Amino acid sequence: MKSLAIATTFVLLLTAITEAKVIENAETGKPAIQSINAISFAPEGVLLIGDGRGKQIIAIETGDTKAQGGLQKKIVGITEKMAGLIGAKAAGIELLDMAVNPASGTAYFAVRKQDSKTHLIFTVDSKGKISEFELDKVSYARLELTAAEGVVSLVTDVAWAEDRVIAAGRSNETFGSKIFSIDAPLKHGAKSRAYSAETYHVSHRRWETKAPMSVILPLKENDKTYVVGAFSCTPVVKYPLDAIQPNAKVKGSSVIELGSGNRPIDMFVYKKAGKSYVLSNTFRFHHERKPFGPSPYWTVKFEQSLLLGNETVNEKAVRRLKGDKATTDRIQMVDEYHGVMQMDQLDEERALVIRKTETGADLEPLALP
Amino acid sequence: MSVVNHSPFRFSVTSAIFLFAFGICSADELKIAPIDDGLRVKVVARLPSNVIGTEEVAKQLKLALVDSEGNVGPSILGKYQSVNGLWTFTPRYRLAHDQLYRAQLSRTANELITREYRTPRRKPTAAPVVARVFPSQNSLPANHLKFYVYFSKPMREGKEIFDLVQLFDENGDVIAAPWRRAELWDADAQRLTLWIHPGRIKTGVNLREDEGPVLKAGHQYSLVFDRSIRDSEGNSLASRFAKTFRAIAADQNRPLPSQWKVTSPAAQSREALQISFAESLDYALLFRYLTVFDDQGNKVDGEIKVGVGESSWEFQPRKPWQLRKYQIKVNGLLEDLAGNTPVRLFDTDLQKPAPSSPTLKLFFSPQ
Repeated sequence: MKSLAIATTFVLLLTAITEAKVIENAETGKPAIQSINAISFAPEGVLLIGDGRGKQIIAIETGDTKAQGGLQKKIVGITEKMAGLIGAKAAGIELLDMAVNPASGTAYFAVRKQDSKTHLIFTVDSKGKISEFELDKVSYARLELTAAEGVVSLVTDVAWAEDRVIAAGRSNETFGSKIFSIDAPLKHGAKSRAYSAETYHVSHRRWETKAPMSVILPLKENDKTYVVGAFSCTPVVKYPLDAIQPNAKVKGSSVIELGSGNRPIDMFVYKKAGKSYVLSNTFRFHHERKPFGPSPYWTVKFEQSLLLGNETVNEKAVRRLKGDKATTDRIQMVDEYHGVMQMDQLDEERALVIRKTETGADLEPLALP
Repeated sequence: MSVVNHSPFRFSVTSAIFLFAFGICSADELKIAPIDDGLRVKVVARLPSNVIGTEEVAKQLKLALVDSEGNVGPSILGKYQSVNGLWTFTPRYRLAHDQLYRAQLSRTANELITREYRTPRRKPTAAPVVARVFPSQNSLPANHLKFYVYFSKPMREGKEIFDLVQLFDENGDVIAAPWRRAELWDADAQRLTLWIHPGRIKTGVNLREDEGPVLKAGHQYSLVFDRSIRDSEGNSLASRFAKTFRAIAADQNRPLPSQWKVTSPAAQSREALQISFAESLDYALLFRYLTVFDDQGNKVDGEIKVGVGESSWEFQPRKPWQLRKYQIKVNGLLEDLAGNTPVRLFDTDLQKPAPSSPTLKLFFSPQ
């Protein structure tokens, strides 16, 4: 999962907002899923599936709403074990995304069976039991991703933002960034509002639009809805979504510069010792020549307060590095998370991570840093 | 997993027919019966009459993949059914080609009956090839943005593709980390859009500052597709594929329709409308972002052909042209090879004054 619903972690920052019912008048049957690019969770155990080929978000009532607790022990070779359940070798599947259902603690995995290009959802419960969440007959709502310009072919992330679903998407022909918003309650057949995003790039001190987001994080601040987006080699940017007309351009403020050559993968907010932090794992694509650690996958923790306010933004945005040296202790690399390819918050104390190993990948709970 | 029907084991005429159909005799308590192409199977077993639910059955009857070192995988997901006193297990998904599977029956603590089955090899199919790469020409601007790669068959998706397509310079040295690692296949996974990382194209962006541009004007490059790239059936490319090209000066100009040459077709004919561009434009977008309308605002149906080097465009109408004025609408998102559009440059600064609005409508009148 590339982001996390913020209902619990942002409580102190938010004014009271009435939480809407998630799905209304759900359809029953097998949703026509053409691809799974990203998964996430809304409240009430509603699984959000980002499907770029289908130009849709599928919201599914899993019924998995009873708190069970998260995974207790590491599962070695998670890919082999999931593949084995469908009679395939590890190379026969690709693990596409992971999200923890905050209602139950159960982890959900989007998987592609490579030979048939079939998409499946697996679950892992607190005891480590792996099951399939079958999509043959479910209650769901199809939310159409529509944009006046451009064609969506990839949903880079999807997230719940208290009273709406937010998704980021891009085309396989034009280079640009679209943010989609669908209000709750989610109704089958609903169409999204789309926004084009303008970004201030800290590093070259310019406003521009042509940069698709790789991960989004919903944020409420002073009763206003924002999307925090992260890019490849570009800053962490905050976009206001309230009072924006559909198809309008939405201007973002750059708040953090993490440094070049890093692609954020997942991002969530958590609290520790009364303070809120954001944890994000990233892929460093010139790791072999300029490593940050033993793996191209490294993780950064920063104070959530860096995302708030409008003073230290754009040209004044906080930079993690100057040259090779850290400029602030408010942004820290987390050594214990080296090798983490995917992650999500498991509970108040732990994250659930897929960590790359020499022979494959392990699924393990890790203490939040 | 679900139970369709359960009945205690008892030998009846119908069960005898069922046993015969699956080749189970009294001496054979467990069998793997292939169905159709051999990738679907039914595992058929006798279980004692006191086994009454699928959870119990699943503990006693399993099917699993066996790897090349003899390690047995987890129980495969599927459906258990009781039919006329026999239990069958049907995997939910098709099995993989040329793999060993083991069925295991363990009705008591001391019993372990196993049967093994190797699925058939995949029938040989043609190896995939790189059929076409766009841009097709061999001179590309140093700020070139993306390649469209067309394969002859649906390909295996996965991020490994970014390690299997490489750029080499004229000395044979690999260009490190050239790609934006976002997988952008078309719906059939036959076309891959391969983006040169924009952070190494845009001036002033830290990645370009740190790593330098991917392409430098005046240098020769090879875009190489490793033979180990596989299609969805697991076949490797028929051969390594390479496209060589020379990088020329960066393109910092907008593709302006006012600079295009429109050749009007003859009226009452189905001659092709022809447009010559002043440069090469994006191959895929040329099929979507140029449209023809009549003077009543009706879209004209026809067939589009993109010319050599993507520097020209033809449109043949389904019905003959009339003696009237037609309009060509140009979408402002149409890109040249560097991602520049008629509206703005790819590498642009929104704080600078906006450039003049381009002409996005062209007219012609068949005579």
